[in-house]
Amino acid sequence: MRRARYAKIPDLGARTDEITIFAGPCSIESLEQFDAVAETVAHLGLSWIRGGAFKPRTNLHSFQGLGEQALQIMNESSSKHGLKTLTEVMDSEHIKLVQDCCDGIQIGSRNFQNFSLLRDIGIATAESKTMVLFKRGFAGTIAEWLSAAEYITQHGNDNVVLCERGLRTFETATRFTLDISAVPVIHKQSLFPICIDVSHPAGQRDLVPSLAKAAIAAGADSLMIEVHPDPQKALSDGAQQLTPEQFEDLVLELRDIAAVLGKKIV
Amino acid sequence: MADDNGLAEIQEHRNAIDEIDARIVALINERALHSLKIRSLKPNANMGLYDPQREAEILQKVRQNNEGPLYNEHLCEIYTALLKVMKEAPSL
Repeated sequence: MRRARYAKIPDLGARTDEITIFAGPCSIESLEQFDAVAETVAHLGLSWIRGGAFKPRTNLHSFQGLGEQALQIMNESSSKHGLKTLTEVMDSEHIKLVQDCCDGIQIGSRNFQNFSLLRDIGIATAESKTMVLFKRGFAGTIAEWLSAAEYITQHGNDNVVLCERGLRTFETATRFTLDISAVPVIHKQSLFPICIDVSHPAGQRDLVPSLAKAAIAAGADSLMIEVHPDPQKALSDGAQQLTPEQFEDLVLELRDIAAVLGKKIV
Repeated sequence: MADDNGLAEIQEHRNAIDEIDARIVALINERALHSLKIRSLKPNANMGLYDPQREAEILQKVRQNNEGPLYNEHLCEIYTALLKVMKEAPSL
C-alpha cells in the first residue's frame, strides 16, 4: 500500500518576530485626552500611538477632527512619551503637513481606490520611506488591494503595511466582518506586513479582545486598537474604544499568546 | 448531409475536443510546475507571489499570440482565471 505523501503546510503566520500595536483614540480631541492614552501606551512599553486628526465621517455634521491642532497635540504628547505617531491623511494637500510631523501615514478604507491620493503619497514618501498603513476598502478584494498598493510603492517607498479592517457583509451583529484569512493570504501573495484593525470590525468593545487574540494567532504583524480615556464621551466611535485599563489587561494577555509563538509585542 | 442530422459530425468534433483537452490539461500542469518553481524562488529574490506587472505582461503576450476566432477579451478571461488559480494553489 502506498503511503500518502506528507507535505508540511508552510506557516504563513511567521513573518516577523515582533508584533507592533498601533493604539490610540479614534479622534484626537484634546491634549488631556490624548496624553492619557499616550501615558498608558508608553507605560506598556509599546512604541506607536495613533489618533485621527482629519476624520472621514459619513455624516458631514459629525465631528470632523481637530486638523492641524490635533497634529500639534499628537506631537507634544508623543515627544513627551517617546512614541512614534500615525495619523490618517484624506487629502493630498495634507500629505506634507502630516509627513513633516508624524512617523506614519494612514490611508483609510474610504480612500482604498483613490488612486491619485495613493500616487501622491507614494511620490511624497519615495525618499523618506515613511511608513504608509494602507487600509483595505470594506468592499475591496485582496487582488484589488494588492493592485492599489502598487500606486504607493511604484515610486520607491515599499514601507507599506496593509491593514485589514473588516468587510461589509450581510451580518449586522458586528459593525463589519473581520476577514482574518487576509493574514495568511497577504503573507502568501505578497511581501507586505499585515495589520489587523480589531476595533472597526468589532464595533463594540467587548468583542475587541477575541478579535485581537485571533489576529495574533493567525500571524498578524501588527494590530490597531482604539483606546479612549472616557469612551462614553468620545466624539467618534465611542462604543468600540477600550479604556486604558481594559487595553492594559488585553496587552498583557496578548503578550502571553505572542510568547507562545515566539513573538514579542512592541 | 448525412441522414443522421449531423450527429456523426458532432461526434467527430467532440472527439477532437477531447484530444485537445487532454493536451491542454497536460500543458496547464506543465505550466503550473514552472509557476510553482518560480514561487519557491521568489522569497530569495525578495519578490512577492503576486506580481501585477508580470500578469499584465502575460496578458499582453496572450493578445499578441491571438489569431482568433476568439476575441482578446475571451482569452484574457481564461488567462485571468488561470493566474488566479495559480496564486491560490498551495505550494508543492
